[in-house]
Amino acid sequence: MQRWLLRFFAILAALALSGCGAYEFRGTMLEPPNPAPELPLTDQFGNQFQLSNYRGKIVLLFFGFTHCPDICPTALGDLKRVMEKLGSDAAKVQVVFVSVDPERDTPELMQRYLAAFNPTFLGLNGDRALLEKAYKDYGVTVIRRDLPNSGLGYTIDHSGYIYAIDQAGNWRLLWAHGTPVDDIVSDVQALLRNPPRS
Amino acid sequence: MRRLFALLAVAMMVVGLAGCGASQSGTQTGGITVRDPWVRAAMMNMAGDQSGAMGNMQQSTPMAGMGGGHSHGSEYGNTAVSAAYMVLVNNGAADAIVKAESDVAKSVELHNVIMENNVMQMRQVEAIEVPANGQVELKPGGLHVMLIGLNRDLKEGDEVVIKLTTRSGKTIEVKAPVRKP
Ligand SMILES: [Cu+2]
Ligand SMILES: [Cu+2]
Repeated sequence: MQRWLLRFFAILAALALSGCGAYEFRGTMLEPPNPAPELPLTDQFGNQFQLSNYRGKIVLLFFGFTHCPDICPTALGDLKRVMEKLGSDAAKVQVVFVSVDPERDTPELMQRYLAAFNPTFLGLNGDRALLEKAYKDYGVTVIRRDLPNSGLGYTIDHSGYIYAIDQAGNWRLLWAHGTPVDDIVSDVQALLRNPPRS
Repeated sequence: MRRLFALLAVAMMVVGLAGCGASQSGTQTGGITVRDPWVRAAMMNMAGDQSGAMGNMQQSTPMAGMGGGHSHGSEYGNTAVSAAYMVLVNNGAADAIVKAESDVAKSVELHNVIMENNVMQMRQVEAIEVPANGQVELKPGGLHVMLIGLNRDLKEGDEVVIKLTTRSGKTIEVKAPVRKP
């Protein structure tokens, strides 16, 4: 009964927000949506990853590295909260983190790092050439900078976007770094409500 | 005016000596005060991990002085990092934080993050300037105290002690609680 009421209100709210029922995404839409480039990489458990295995799910994609103290943990923390807020719908969403620092992002480090956010998050790494192609395909800036006086040795300048790939494998949306968690949740829910045909 | 300042300084010293400050999260001395410090939770590496892409894993990097860490070629595989954030409030003349130390990490550095066209760039900085009667916020996506090469896990509820040195030669001891990433 309560659930029914909640749902009713949710629909009402959605309708109110969207005028004629057309939801307006808070993220940037990619028009027209094109098939998301494949990511033939390996996850932190040593399993071969394939985007095409996630048809029917929404994939939230982020490029980063474990030695980043700042943008990456913030983005992953946001994605963790997105999953929490999605509740049971989280089962229809897969978060994927692609390394921009393949040298240091060893499987062990990725395992521990990602588990601290959400154990379902996947961290991909792989052949340098395949990674380079992924950065290019998704328009991700990755620049290695030496920090000669730092204990870090080097850092990686990188883009902070989060991308959404829909249930049909189309690259649909991107959110700039710092987009409120509720906006991401709202957009993901909209994609779940209106799954693409085909 | 001078006298008032001196009086104030004495009062602060008394407070400091009395140990009132010690139980708070930030301790104060002179001009710069620390408010709301926290450290991001992080896990260090498995000790003796040998699966790094870079074979040479020298754990014993002799670090004579902190902050003066020098480059050691390609031994940067597999070090866990974290960052400390806080608000630096300055009630006096312009000053700066020029050094940070802590026993939780091999090196502790002052860093800044610049976002340009949604590309994040992290850089080491010489000092964090705190304007006269002003404040500077160290926060995610900006200035931070970087902890590099953690020697223990930083779990929620833990406390990290960080010693800051100002340009004017004062030290500030900060007790920062660990928070979830
Ligand atoms: Cu990052
Ligand atoms: Cu840093």
